[in-house]
Amino acid sequence: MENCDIVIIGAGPAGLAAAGEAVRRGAKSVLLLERNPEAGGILNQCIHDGFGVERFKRALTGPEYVERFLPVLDEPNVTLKTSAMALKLGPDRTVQYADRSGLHTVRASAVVLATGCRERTRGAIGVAGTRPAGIYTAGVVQRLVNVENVMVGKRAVILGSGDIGLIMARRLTLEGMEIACVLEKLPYCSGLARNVRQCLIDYGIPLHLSTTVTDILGDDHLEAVVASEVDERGVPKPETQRTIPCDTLILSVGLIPENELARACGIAMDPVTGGALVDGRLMTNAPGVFSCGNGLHVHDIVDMVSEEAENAARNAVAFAEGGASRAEQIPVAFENAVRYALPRSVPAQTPLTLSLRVRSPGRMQTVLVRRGEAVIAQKSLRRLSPAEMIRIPLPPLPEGAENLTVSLRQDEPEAKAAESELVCTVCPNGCALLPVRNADGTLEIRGALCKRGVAFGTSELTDPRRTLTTTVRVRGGVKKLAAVRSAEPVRKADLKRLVRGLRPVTADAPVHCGDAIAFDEARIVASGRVPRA
Amino acid sequence: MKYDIVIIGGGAVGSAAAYLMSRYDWSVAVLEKELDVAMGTTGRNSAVVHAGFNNRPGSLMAKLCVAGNRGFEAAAKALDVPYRKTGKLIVGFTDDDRAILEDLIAAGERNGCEGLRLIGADEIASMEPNVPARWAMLSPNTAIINPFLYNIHLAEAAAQNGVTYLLGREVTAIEQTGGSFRLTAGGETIECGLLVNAAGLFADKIGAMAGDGRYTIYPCRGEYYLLDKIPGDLLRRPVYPVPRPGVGGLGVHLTPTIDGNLLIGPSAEYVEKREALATTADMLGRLAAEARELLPALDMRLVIGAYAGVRAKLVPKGAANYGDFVIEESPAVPNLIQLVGIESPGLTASLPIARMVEEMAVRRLRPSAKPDWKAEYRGIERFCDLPDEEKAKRIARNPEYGDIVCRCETVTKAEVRQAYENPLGAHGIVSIKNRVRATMGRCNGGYCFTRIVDMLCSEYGLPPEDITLKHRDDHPFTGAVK
Repeated sequence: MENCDIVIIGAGPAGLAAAGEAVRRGAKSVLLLERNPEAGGILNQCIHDGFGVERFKRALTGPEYVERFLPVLDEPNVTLKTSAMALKLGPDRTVQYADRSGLHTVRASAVVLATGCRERTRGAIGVAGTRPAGIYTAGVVQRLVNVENVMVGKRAVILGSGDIGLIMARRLTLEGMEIACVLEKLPYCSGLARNVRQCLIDYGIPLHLSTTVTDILGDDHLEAVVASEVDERGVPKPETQRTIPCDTLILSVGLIPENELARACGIAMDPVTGGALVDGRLMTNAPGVFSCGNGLHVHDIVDMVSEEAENAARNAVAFAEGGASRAEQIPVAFENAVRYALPRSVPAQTPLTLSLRVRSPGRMQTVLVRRGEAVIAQKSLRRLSPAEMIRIPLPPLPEGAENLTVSLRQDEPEAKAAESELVCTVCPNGCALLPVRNADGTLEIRGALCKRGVAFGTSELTDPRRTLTTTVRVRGGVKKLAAVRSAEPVRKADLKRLVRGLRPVTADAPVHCGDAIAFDEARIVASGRVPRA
Repeated sequence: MKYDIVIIGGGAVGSAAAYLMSRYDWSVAVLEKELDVAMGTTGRNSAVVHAGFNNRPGSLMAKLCVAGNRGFEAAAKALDVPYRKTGKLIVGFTDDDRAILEDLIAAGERNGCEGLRLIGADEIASMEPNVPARWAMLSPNTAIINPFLYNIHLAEAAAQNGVTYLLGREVTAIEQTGGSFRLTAGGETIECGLLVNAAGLFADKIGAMAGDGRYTIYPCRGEYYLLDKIPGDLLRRPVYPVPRPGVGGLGVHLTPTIDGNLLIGPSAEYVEKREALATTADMLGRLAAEARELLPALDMRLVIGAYAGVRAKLVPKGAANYGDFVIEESPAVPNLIQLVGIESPGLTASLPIARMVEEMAVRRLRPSAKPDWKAEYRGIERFCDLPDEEKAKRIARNPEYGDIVCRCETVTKAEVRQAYENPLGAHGIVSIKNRVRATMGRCNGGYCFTRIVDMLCSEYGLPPEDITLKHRDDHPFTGAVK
């Protein structure tokens, strides 16, 4: 049996970041197991931009974000096995995997689970009706359209306002499909405000809250869905039923951490997150097995996945070296308004960032982390949403008997948000902007907490621009399509025309990230790589 | 095209008949309206090999169910069909239930079922610790199977022995002239001397087309929930409630599947349409509630799907009479063998039914047995069930065994390829699913569906718009994006 210092299962954004950190921390050998033919995970199909704003201060596309982490694969002590599926994880840190060269087992000093997540399906949410062709989860459509070069239909209804669904609403619109509407069973949107603006409002796609699909019609192919409004308890109101003709239903109803390996290994799971229960080192109850990224809990921003994976890798290397911290673990509890806080315990004497999600949307609240009576960390937020993970840095804590508790405090009587068509999407504050036309004809933006908000509002109202992201066909490559983007933002009104114009364009493999694509109407560059076949 | 015998319907019954008749030197064809076998009621039930205590003593159902149960293990072995004799519990909660169970045991013994016995709470607790029942009837001979592979292997074994399967041929007209038949199916004309009507839900219509319109099928829908793989100690064997009078089924029950999943269902509801395969929110809600009575520890978050099947009943809603199987040489039309009203326990009884058909046909046509008939059939070897050293050998022999396409069910590319290149020539994605389980797992194909699509497009040269799931016109894709 082969031995390896650190085995990382999954070479998506979590696995790649973990590998980088493991190398920096002196791991002697790192093995990355990836079931796809290339590293990058789900980001390879996320050709839209918006990744890396926190980490790289730039809105990168998914493949571009991956590109920044690929140099680790050139390190002499890092091995990437692609098209390799991990089949078994043993409590003794043995990992069995299969690839075209055989069935292999490797023994690791520490294992990092970076297995990502899968989508919740129609089956899991129990939508009644027939089972015709034309029903997909959003991520499947994303892969079909952006990777497999396959178009799914002409008119879609999207159920669920998760980010992937919103992203696909825009993507499919740009490729000529009609999106009838997005339905969300909850009374609030599950996706990021930025995506509501850039994917729905930009294209006039209606979002119906407190509405769900209650029946599916069509024997061979989907013909229509029946939509119903729901009451406060989520029960459909039959009198509100209406039939929406469509040939495609796209589900964006949540993500589930993928933990089949961990479960089969007997690792204890958290029923709230669907991920493993981990301590402050992100270590599971199997010694030396760490978990991070969307396999641990679903994140909304990949930058945080990378950061969490680096933490896991740091601790994994320390464990592998036998110098693992034996620091006392201080348990973390949370009150009911907090859906979960992670990790569930933090080591004494070590600074750490706590991740948490709230149960329902709110305004003007403060997250308090107490130890006993004393508040040790807090964060005041103008806007809170279950869709947005909150992160609070904790100071190093002395050892002691008292646990941490996380709670929410309402700071002011909850005021109704100012009615505004224009919500700033520069940062999670989501300021409601109020444009005012002054007597002298100049435009004033009120309601923004910062200058960036004013700039955002002004540009949105005078010359709205967007980064164009789409694909072009590739000749002679290992992939059918290459992800491309506009080198700089283009006029919003030009997006559809440019995507149409790019349709006949074919690039020749190899394509490198940043390569110029021959196109007259705008400066287009490749945003992902396609090696020669 | 002309055949000695045509069987209409390639489900479990039609294919069992095709399999048994493939041993003789006559020509046999099966006309199936779907693009594969196992697309109808055969694949839409609890996948249980019944013991036969539920059926009226003296009925054909009782006799053939008991016979089917006795022979099933050997047939499953010969046909390489996953089979496990789990036994089953019918559980009761009241003294009245106990009386019903005792009657059931008596009826079962009259039918020839062996080993039935009443057990109490202690024994139930030792067998099924999560089922809070006071009484139960233990049926030791009840088994679970993979009904898709049973049907598919019967059909592929029949095809291997020379039976012609004509898929996607819906029979639209039958002309009967001088003791032989001329059928119109899928735009073709097919002639035969002996016609076997195994058309399941449409057996009354096919019978009428052939000139025997004495029967009416009353479709009765059953809805199911499909759950993810459950921990083995949650439920080990099928658990049914005591049968309630007036309910057109066996009651909502819990059935572990041969692959380790769990089924909840079925409901029983008479419906207008024969292929009313939609599930309904009301019924699914009721299934969940009734399942929890039998198994309070059940976590409904394990649900990964729902489906419905339709029973081909010969009695309408509320009728007092017992609907038995009709297995006969039609008194109205010469050379027509009628198989009508084959509902539960039709899967269990399919080979005994087929044996009756075989005897009728042999008596009429006096064929000779073929010397080279093969009773055995081997399906696609399942990689995930192999021991590690065998897995390694498979990959060494064929690297596509090392290419895992479906993660939930650990299905390799080698298996997907064998499924796509099946001997019946069934090419929909559901045909792959029914053979090797790809797309059947907890992610509903979220991982493997696109990979299978890629394989069909890149390696088999299929344009995306030509791909189908299960029906000729259900194309999931409109074409290429660019």
